[in-house]
Amino acid sequence: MKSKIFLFLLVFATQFLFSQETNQPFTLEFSNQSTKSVFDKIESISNYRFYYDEKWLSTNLISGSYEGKTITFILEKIVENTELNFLIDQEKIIITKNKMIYTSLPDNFFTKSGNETKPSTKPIFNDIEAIKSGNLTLIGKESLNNTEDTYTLKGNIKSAKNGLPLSDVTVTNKSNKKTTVTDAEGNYSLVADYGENAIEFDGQGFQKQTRKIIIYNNGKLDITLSEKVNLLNEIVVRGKRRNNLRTAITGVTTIEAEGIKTVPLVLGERDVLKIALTIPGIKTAGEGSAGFNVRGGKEDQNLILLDNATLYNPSHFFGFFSAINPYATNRVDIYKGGIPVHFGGRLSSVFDIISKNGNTEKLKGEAGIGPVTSNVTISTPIVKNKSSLLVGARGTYSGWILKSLKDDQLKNSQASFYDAIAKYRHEFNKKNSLESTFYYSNDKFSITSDSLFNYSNLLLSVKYNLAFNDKHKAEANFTNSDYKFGIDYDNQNNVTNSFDFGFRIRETQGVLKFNYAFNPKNRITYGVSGKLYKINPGTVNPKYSISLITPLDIADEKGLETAAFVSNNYKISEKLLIDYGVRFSVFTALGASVQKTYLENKPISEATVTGEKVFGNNEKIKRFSGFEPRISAKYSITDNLSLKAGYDKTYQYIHLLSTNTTQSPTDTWKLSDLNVDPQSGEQFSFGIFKNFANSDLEASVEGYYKKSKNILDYKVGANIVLNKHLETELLQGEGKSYGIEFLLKKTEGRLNGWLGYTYSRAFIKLNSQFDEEIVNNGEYFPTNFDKPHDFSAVLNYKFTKRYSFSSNFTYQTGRPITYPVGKYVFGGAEYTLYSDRNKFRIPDYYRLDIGVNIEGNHKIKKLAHSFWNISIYNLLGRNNPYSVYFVTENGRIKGYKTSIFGIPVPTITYNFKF
Amino acid sequence: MKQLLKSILFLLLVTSCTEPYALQSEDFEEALVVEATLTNEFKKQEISISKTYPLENIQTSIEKNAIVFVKDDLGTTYNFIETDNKYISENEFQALPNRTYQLFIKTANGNSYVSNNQTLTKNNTIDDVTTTVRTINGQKGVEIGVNHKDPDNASKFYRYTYEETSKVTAPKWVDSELKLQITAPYYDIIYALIYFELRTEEARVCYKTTKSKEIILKETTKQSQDIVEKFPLKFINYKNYDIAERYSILVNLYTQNLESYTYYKNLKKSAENGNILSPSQPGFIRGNITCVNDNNKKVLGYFEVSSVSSKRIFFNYFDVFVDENNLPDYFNPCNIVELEPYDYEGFREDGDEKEAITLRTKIKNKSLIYYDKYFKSNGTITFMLVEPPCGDCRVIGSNVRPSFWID
Repeated sequence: MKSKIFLFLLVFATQFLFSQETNQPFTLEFSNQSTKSVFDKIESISNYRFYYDEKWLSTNLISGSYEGKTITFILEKIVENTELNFLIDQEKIIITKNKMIYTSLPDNFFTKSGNETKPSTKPIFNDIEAIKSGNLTLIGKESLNNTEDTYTLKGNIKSAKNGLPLSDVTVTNKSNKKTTVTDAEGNYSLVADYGENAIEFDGQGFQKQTRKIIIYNNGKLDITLSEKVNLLNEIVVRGKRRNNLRTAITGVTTIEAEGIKTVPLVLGERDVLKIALTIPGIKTAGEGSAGFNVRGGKEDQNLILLDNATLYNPSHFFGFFSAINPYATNRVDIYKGGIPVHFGGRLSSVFDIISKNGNTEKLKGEAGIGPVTSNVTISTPIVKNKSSLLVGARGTYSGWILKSLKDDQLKNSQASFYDAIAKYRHEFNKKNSLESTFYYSNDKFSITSDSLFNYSNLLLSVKYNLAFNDKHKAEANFTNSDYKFGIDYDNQNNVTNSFDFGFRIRETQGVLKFNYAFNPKNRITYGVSGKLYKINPGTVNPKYSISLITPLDIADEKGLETAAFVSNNYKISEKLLIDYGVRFSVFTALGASVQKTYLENKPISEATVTGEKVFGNNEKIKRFSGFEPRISAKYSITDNLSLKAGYDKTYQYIHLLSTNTTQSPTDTWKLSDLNVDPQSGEQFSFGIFKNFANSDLEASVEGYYKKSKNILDYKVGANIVLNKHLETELLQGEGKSYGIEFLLKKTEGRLNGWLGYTYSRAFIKLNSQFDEEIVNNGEYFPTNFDKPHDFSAVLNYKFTKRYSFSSNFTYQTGRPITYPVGKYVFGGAEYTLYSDRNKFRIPDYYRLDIGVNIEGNHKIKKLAHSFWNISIYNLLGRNNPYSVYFVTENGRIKGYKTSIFGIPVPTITYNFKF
Repeated sequence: MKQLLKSILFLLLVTSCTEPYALQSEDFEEALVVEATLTNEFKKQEISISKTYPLENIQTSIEKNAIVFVKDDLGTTYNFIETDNKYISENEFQALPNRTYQLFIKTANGNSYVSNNQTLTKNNTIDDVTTTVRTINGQKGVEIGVNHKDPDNASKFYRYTYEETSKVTAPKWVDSELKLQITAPYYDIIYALIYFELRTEEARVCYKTTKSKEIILKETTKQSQDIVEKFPLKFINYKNYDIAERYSILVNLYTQNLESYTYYKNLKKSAENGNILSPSQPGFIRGNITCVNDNNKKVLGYFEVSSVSSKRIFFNYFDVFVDENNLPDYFNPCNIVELEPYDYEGFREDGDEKEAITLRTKIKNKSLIYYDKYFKSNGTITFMLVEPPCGDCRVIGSNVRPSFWID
């Protein structure tokens, strides 16, 4: 049929000169009928015959009542507001889509010297073959009244694989150099000049598509993009491509889980969060340390979300691995600055981890085997093209390996972990969809044979998406997080002191978020959220009845954090875009609780307790509120060069308790209450972003200055576990950090990767009117993670489609430590004099890792697609110090240095996909 | 493969290695250490002033030639004179209530130090020093406690020190001892003469005195009344010979103020090892003395003006352990070593010899002392020797009977 009608067009294009209209009056009545049946009716009551392609006719039902009207009049009414045109040639009625059949050639048609006339009077001639092959698409209805120079092209982009809408696809009109990105629902809107345009669709991980269109009027172009068959090796970490130029916010990085697989990492574990550490502005205190320090912020200031549920401990195995299964992860968006208003509750950053959606069409799977862990991920449709289930699991075999070792101490020690994730997605229709994620991770380890540490994360997230219409959408989200940490201390030589220790935090959250595309220039996001925290700070129970341990249960803490937020993405002009909004958060510390009161104008200490206040269940203890404006602006100097600036304010009502110099799994959390104020922070940031034309090279320079208040620190000798007077051990100080981050990134080509360098400082000041609350004379001093120079290079070179080589180099200034600088005798006993806090530094850190990646062959009809990775971690064998500590042995103080991986560690991993 | 996995995991676990880290002595920071507690006792008050010393050193270093004085709010100055590594007040005086006192130190290198103002704390009297037989961690012993109370409910912060004195009688004491005399070389021959001498000094009964070293603190802020009852200061195992003959303990109660209490509390914590759950962040503990000419210079220690109350008790073993039938064993098993005096091994000129096991070496080194002798049938003499604590109590304590001692 299709080819047939094109044939007609060919013929008529030359013959319509002779066609003529008929003015014979008609009487016709129809209601709620399809266009086709109306045509059929006309055919039945007249000699007219319609020629058309059924595909062109919309399924919308039409009604009409005509008496004594000409066929032309009736048809004009029918095709009104459609893309159809018609031509009546005697008894033939030719229906065309988009194209208008001209009955006369333009005046200058045969004069080659003729300059272009105004588009409104010039018919567009085009290559029928191109239309036939699908390479040319006609948009909008051609009409003699279309006099505008530009029209709006709208459309929706979906994945060919599973039909899901694709967000963040770059849509570029190559003809007029305009560009846009699709929103979360895959919609885009772009200005096109009348006539022929080339539109390029470029989505991460998808094959680039270019469509030639002829635009006659405002119209729609929906596209499905196919996944790149061989994206392997090409992309390591992809920032949202050219996003750095497009969005207003600074300090955003996206890590694609698939893209990082060639980067050599310790023991071959692909790890999205470890890769984050190679990005400027994100650091960790040490190699085996859990937690991140983002732009000089403490470890507890990062909101780590897995499908919107808070992950309290994102690490496995003392922090060597992250608890995120890379095979079930789609991507991680990291906000170092410019945190969107719908996120809140942490000062420094948001790690927004988004899991993969399952495949709605066929069974797919992926599995990997490494020296420490193995994993498998399977995705299956439940209802074809509507719903899918993705299940991923990962486990370690270190447990049995330890048991089979000869060394007695190792034999009795344990280290094992596993995690599992399941995601169900159901698309009811285009407007309604449901997503649900379940996640569980569990770690067990023992450092000494008598104490077993264990912790677990349990996450549940349910999200419902609802589109009221094209412009107005809602997202309802419910999440629950449950983090537990425990110590099982069982010493057969000391049964009377054996105990079980437990800590638990539960967080239940509901978020209602709306997106409203008010007009093409204003996109509004608004909503509310509520979060209920319940913390059990610690319980200790004796293991045996003859114990000397007194059972102890520190009273639970409860708090409710609510917030309302609104922001507007306002495109003031083609060059200036601002994103401004505000979040208003309220935190209420709730009973039941007994809160201590302390003498005023005295340091808070056990010695200054004046009394206790008793609060009933759910009674308000104290309420805090925070007004959090977030503003960012982008000014495009040229298409490839833009400037950005931003200001953010954030509040945090929950604090990590850690007297270790690095984050460890033994750390616990505490809520703000009568004696502990919320943390707050402000960040000023700016950035210059440049994309080099005709290449994939991107360069950026970003700078920031941050100030924070009420950062939690601890008095010397603080005891924070099972302490009923915890506030007496705490100090709250001011933080200050600044830095400049350089990033040069090449995303494609044989050689790809990125180079990052950061110069940054992070300080804290602990000053008070009371001497014992002063550290380092009340002046700013470097934090534990202040590492001024940080350079990393991740480079990947592709020899052939199957072989590639990658390397990863990191250099960092050694981290600060407190060092003994002398000893003295007081009261007959010897004591140590320590330096000012963090006055010294351990030696600098550097490490080179290399890896070779081998793809399986690229036959399309292959059962499984395999991938080998051979890597050597710490190739140079650098003995990087992790910590330096001091003990007194036989009355003399001795220093020791601990390093984690002091030798090169080779690894082979294998994984395959089907 | 299994082997490979094993070895790789093994690497993971054992490559995390710990090695000695050289202490860099160039980082040594010298700071003044002041230990000064003025009391309400009318006496020559004492102040210790020392300096920090490098980590690799063992010897403490005393701050010499400093000008030290205490001034009260009426302008009265009390000078302290350096005497026996301490600074002792020129005249006897006592801290008085409602006066404020300030400590001034000018060190030989020209630095000036000053404390903040301190006032005498309220006087509290020890009502009792108690002895309670208890079993702690499966170990039986006597717990020395203290009782006191402040009816005004105002004092709240207390620090204790104690001084223990035990009577010790050397179980294998005899009235004579062996002496050694090495002759001058006579035609290359050196003679070692071993002879008896009667003891001229008391060596049988001594008094062993030890001072508390640890910081002992008690606060009553969590109590409705300012009462301290049987607060444990010291636990002595029932097999400890210290309490076998006669034991005395002098308990000093210092009433502190919040600031001095907090200083001592933090210092105490910094010296204790953190437990498995919470290792501590080390750091500088600030006292109340500052360097006038360099505000950032660290000064360790504290100047406090405290009311002190002391109480001494005595007890005998069976007064406390009424159920026990036997006294604890002596510190030393006092096994007898028998040695003959004759040996002809090569002497050196200093009278020493290669193998340090012979009688004359033991006598010279005082590593064994004489207890008894007997003659074998062939007429050779054999000496019976014991370790010094068994025959000479001066190794354990002082042979001077303390003036406070009551038998």
